[in-house]
Amino acid sequence: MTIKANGTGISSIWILAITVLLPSVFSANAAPPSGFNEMIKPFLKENCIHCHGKEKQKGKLTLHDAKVDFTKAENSEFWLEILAQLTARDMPPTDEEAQPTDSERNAVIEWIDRQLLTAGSGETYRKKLLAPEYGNWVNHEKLFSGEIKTPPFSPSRLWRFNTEIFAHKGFGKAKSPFSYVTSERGIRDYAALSIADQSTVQMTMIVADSFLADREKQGDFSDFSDGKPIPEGQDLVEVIRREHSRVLGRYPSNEEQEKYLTFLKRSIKIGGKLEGVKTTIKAMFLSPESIYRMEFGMGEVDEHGRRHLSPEELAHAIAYALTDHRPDNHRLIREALQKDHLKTKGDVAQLTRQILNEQLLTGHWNRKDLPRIMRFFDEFFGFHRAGTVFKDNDRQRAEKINQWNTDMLIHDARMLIEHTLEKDKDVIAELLTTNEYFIAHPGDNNYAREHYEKKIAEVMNPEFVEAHVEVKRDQIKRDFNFKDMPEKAKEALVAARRDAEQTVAMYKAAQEDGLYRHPNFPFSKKGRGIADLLYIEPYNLPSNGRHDEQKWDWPIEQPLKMPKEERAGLLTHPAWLTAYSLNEDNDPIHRGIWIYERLLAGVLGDVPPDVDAAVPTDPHKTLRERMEPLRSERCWKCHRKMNPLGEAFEIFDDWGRYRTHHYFDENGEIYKRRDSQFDRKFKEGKLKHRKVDASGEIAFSGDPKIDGKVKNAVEMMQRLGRSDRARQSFIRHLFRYFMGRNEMLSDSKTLIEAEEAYLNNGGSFKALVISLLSSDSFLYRR
Amino acid sequence: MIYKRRQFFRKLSRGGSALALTPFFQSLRAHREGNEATLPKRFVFVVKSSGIDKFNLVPKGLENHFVNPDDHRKLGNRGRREGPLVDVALADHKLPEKLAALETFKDRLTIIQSLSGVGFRGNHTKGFGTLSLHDSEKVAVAPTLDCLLGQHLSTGPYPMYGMAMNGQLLESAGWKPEDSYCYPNLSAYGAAKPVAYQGSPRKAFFELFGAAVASPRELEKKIALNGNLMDFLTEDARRVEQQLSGDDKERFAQYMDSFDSLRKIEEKKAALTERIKKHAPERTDRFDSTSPSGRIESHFEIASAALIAGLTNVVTLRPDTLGVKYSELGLSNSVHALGHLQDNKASNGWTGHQARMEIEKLHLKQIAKMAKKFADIPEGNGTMLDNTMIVYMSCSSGDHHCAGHDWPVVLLGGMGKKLKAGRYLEYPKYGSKGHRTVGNFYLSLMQAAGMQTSNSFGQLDSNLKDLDLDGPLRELMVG
Repeated sequence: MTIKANGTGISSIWILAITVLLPSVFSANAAPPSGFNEMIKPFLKENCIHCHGKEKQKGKLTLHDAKVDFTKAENSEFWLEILAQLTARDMPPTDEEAQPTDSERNAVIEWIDRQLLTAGSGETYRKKLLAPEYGNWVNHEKLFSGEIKTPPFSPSRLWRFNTEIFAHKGFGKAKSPFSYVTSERGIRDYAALSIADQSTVQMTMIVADSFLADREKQGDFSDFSDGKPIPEGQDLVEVIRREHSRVLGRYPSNEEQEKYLTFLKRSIKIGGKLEGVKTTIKAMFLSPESIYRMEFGMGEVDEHGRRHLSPEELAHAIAYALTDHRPDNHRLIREALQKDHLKTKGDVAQLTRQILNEQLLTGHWNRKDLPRIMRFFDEFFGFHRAGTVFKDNDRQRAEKINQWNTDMLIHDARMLIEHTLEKDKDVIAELLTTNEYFIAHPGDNNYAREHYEKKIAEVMNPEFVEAHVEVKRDQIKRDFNFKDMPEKAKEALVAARRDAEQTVAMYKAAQEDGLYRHPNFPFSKKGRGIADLLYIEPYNLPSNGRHDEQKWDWPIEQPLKMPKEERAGLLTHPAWLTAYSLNEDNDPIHRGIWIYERLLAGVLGDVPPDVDAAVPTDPHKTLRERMEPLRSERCWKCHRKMNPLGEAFEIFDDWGRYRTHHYFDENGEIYKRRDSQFDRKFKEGKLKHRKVDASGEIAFSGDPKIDGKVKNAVEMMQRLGRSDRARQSFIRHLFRYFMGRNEMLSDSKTLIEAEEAYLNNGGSFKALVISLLSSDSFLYRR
Repeated sequence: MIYKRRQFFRKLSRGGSALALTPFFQSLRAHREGNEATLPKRFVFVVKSSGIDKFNLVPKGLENHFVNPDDHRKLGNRGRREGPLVDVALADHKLPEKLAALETFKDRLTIIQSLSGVGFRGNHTKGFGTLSLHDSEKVAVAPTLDCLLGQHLSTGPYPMYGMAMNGQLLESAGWKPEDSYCYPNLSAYGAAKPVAYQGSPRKAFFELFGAAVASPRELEKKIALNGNLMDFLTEDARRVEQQLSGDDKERFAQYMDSFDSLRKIEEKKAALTERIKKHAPERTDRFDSTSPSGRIESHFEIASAALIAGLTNVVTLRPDTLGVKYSELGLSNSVHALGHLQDNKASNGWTGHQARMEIEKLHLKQIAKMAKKFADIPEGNGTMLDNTMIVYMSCSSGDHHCAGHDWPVVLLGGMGKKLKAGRYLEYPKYGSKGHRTVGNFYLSLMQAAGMQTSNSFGQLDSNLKDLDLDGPLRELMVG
């Protein structure tokens, strides 16, 4: 069977168009391509030429004399630039009164694309469109318009395994040879961008070598040692079957068995028994199946020429969509396959529903149980990267962040997501607008109370202090650092007693104040290792160490309500704010880009190569003031899309703290300290302050209902979070995550149905996932 | 194309020996022309864990800025005193006790202090950031210096070769050296391309010098087996390839091409057979020893031989990790525990400072031994040591907990007269005028090795934006 993938990632309609247009490739002297005189010329005249024509040549660009021979590289590049400007809506400038209609704009974009395809140029552009960053280049309005009737499918494809799947392949602690080349800020696992190159193969070889060395040590190949007769016939077949199942997770077919058997015999002949068998196992490790998932569509072919995934292919596709395990590791998937219940759309919907329901009953949506769901939220929101932004220790101290614990902030954000998924109601809007947070809490209220009461009983026991000292005494006995050092040991015991007494005192004090003392949750599946309240400053809450007086009334029942005017959803959560911050300040540009691309499905052009990315430094100015130069005409063309969105988050500092004022010292320089020096200067009246300007604007969103000015990020999120645009944009990203590719226009039906499923079920994320995983885009290959 | 093994052997017998002699001819030619630049250049990076102490690295008779002037006690991690650039000849000063083993090489030795590398995370190690100067403790985000130099310099089968005590930084109870490949998170060819280090000296020996102990028959068998595997894989992959088109086919080609590259490594090694036989270290029981000093000695020995045989031009050694217990020094504390002792006593009665110094001395003794070997091999008008630079440093800068403000380096050897030697260089304190960074130092090494570089290496430190931090260390460069 020969299978051809089209793999271009653009629209199936355009691909149909090539076949019609192919004979019309024209030479330089031939008449311009069809549509140029009728459509393109009038469009240019109407919208472009008065700035880019004979009279004026803005940006040294002219269009009145544009050459249309697309076979010449310089011409196709010229038109590609126009295509990019039109797609990103950077041209005509927004302040031009006369704007082309959306359909005029799209018609020109499609015309250019068609010419490129016909002339066989624009290869780089087409490759680029396969990357996650270019997902939004597929027109949003058109995708959701309902006018596209093409039956959806995915290209048949090879999809290299990822690090997470590798970790569950049973090769111990071996380092994954698979890595992503996609940007860390976004959805990572894209089939078309998953590469296995020389370093992948070399690393796989190392994995195989270590695996073989361990097996040899365990005596697994003793039948092949010197001095024993060469195993023959059935024995060799058994070895092939055993090792194939071990390395590739399934028994070989007859044909494969034969293939490896022949190789094994030949290898034994060349290199002897032991080396022969080891080389054969290596061959399995390095085989395509060990490196790639293959989705060719081995099932039935329908009237549109689409091939359904076979039950086995489906089992793999579902397993890797929801878990990181091979399909036989999941009871429900295994059973569905055995009972032949993996054939139809209904079967797949049923199985997905079962898996998700079981998840809701049995526990958290955490990494271990259903890792792929939580990972989507990581990759979509990007809050899990909070720890990757370096913040200097000196700043922490001066700005009164008693403990900078991004892991805990990320944990808190995950709790919020788990809670929202459990309720499964208006999930997208909830995630983007809720002020109900979890802080220093394991998520499970029953467990939290249980653990708290156990802890109270333990600490209030009159024996507590003595028991604590006794434990220390025991430790000292076993620690050579205390050997022959009675003075040091004595000091340590005194300290241990003091600590224990302090603990008792602190619990008592909290009780007297009517507070729940944070009970230090252990590192366990339920406890999640939440040690203390030392890290909570980013929530504008007073922190305390484990032996200090508790200053915050920690709620034992959570979520808790944060001030409504300060926080709205995950984008105002310290974890997200930090992930999108810089070493020393906020990062309004990337925050703006995030919203523009992920909630507004907006298109940004590529950054011009000569852009100097640095915002000027000036200690007297706020960040917003320093970004003022970006409002010049040249920069603003792109920055208008992001800055007004990102600047609304200036009501937070780069630790994620809500703020109302900037402070300036005697020299008029921004004063960032918040420690005792700040208190002193503030008291002495040495600091001037000014209100934070966090005003912003939603503009050019494609949805006039949400466009308009906002006072700050909280108001913005309340408006954006419930919008159709944000919902659809979210769904597009979830689609990309599950399909491992950007959407094509032909996926329109899948996306519309997914949105309907979500809305018809009260905003159910579960319904959304089921709809996507049983969609034609998931089930069919072409 | 499926490679014909017979063809390969034919080619090998005709052209192989010439290939093996290339460096020798190069050396001859250089000798004739008096042109040091054409001689092969080599690097050895010895990257210990837990920091290299700075306060006991100052030659006698010089003001020690790393101790309190009143009681001469070591200052804290970032506590060095202010002071101008110090650039003096070691010849005029007695080496500190720690470096006594290098006394005979004083004219080839350079001590550099107070270079900074700040902005990379890692409480105990900067991980990949050590040699890439990116915030990259556990995940490689950029190529590291050793890999870059290796790709530039090496003509043998390995661009660079790494050997490590262990991959884990801080092992839990029951530490033991790694007996296979491991990833100490130090070297990478690029983002997400970490380099595996060999832990076992025995395995490293067979991997690098297998040809020396194998009979010609065995050697042929090994190559045949590998060729057989690559043929099978290519053939097997072709079945899948036939089902692909467009982008998928293009991507798949990268996977298929890698079999050819792997084959080439074996070919290059086979071409070096004679040299490998000549320079292979003696196989000893020590290769199986699990004592840290035994391991370290073996790693150094194999590394020296690998460089001499031309298997690679860059080696990175990871002599210890935080979990290592130097029991042969009478220490039952781990390197990590020692890092916290300061003036407190270790299990054998030494203070923490003393114990750390003895460990460094143990490494430096091996470095001296290695240098001696190189100094005994003539090359061009001088010796192999003139073209080999041994760099002793730590992934944790100048202390157990790395702040990165003072990153000491000890250099021994030469780079074809491109780098000054016999100096003690101490740059002004972090942030003050004249201060320089590890990035400037790496640029010096790269330029001396003949690489084209830009004006900076790695991530820039925003705290130092007002300083002039372009280019290599002027004080280190000749001319």
